[in-house]
Amino acid sequence: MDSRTFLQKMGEITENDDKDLSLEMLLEDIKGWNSLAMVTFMAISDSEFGVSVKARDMRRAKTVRDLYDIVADRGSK
Amino acid sequence: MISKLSGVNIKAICCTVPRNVLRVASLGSIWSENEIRRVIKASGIEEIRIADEKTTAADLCVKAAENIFKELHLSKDSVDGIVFVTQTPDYIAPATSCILQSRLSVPNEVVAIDINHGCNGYIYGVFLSSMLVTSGSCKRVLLMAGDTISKLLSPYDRSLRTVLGDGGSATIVEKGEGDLSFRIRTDGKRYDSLIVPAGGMRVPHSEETCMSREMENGNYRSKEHLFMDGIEVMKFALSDVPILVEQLLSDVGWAKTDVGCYIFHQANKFIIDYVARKMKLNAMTVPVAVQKYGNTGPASIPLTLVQKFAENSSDHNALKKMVAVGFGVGFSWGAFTGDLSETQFLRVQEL
Repeated sequence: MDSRTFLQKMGEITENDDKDLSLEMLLEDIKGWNSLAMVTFMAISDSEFGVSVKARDMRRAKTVRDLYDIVADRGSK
Repeated sequence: MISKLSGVNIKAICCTVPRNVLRVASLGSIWSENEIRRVIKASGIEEIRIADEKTTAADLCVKAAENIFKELHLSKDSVDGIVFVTQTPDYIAPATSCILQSRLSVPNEVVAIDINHGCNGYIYGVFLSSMLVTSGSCKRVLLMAGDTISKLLSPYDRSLRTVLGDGGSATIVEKGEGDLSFRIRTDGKRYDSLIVPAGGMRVPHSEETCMSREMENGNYRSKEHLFMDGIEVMKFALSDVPILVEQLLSDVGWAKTDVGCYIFHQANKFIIDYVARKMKLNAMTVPVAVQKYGNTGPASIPLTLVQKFAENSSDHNALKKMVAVGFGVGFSWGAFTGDLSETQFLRVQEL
């Protein structure tokens, strides 16, 4: 999956325009990145990208790129 | 655990909810309107029922049971087993099922068992009731399953207050020609992802344990309130539940498309939709009935069945091949298959 598709998904999850998001952004700076968004991310990763995200990895993620790496890395295997 | 039990039927189901309605949107005054709107959109839960101070899960279940006896003209003397599933018993001791024997005027010649399980509790209840019947020990078991979980919630816990509601159910499990097949699993390693940490014997009640303080994400609760790690629970639902259901289907030789109705524990719309999508189930066969009552724990499977099938016009053919699926606190998860097309479903009662 390319980073653009990923940012679009992140936009849907957090109710933001994906043009306002970038891989370098800190998750804590994104309005709408809350516990519900985290659970949604986990569900979408699993059912749409076929990647089972570990809760621990998810909590460690600081930036959007950290999340993207989780999905992109494992999704390609 | 795998088990096929022959010679048992689920004769009737009725449910009771408290009269008191809490509109989830009204919680927007405590938190932000926008946040509540997003939560409702995802959970599908618009209203939940909250028991008043005096009402317990046993009270809700008694009303449901009395209604079955009345509507089906069943004699209470015919009941020789009582199974009560709850996380909110009347007392620490004795078992609430004992008290229920007397309240319902069921004969003394009855086995009475409490089961402490939550969202997988109905599967346990049907399993144990069916065991009692198919072993020849009982002819007719009154299974009651319900929680007044609101009594274990912090008023300021935004993750749980918006989804969990109170409810009770009664089910008659009796000798018959039917088969029920079960799969049940347990993983106690994850026990602390859904837990009331204090108030039991491990961490007894104290001044400290009942003091509310700010935990994660601005949630306030004490150690005597229910805690849920939403991410762990979501992962559990998505990864463990589909595998178990698929194995059960293979046990009984049913294809996914053979099944007319999948009754999942009604955690929330979000989880059910994702699990159904992941399993590639036809959405028409997966009812979501959370809108009016939310997640009612051990009562959610029977409450879904009665909401969908209590109307005279409803088509019970879909229940010829039915799968019920529970998952929750423990962690515990399980499912059973059966033919419920002859089961009588009574309308939801209020107390």
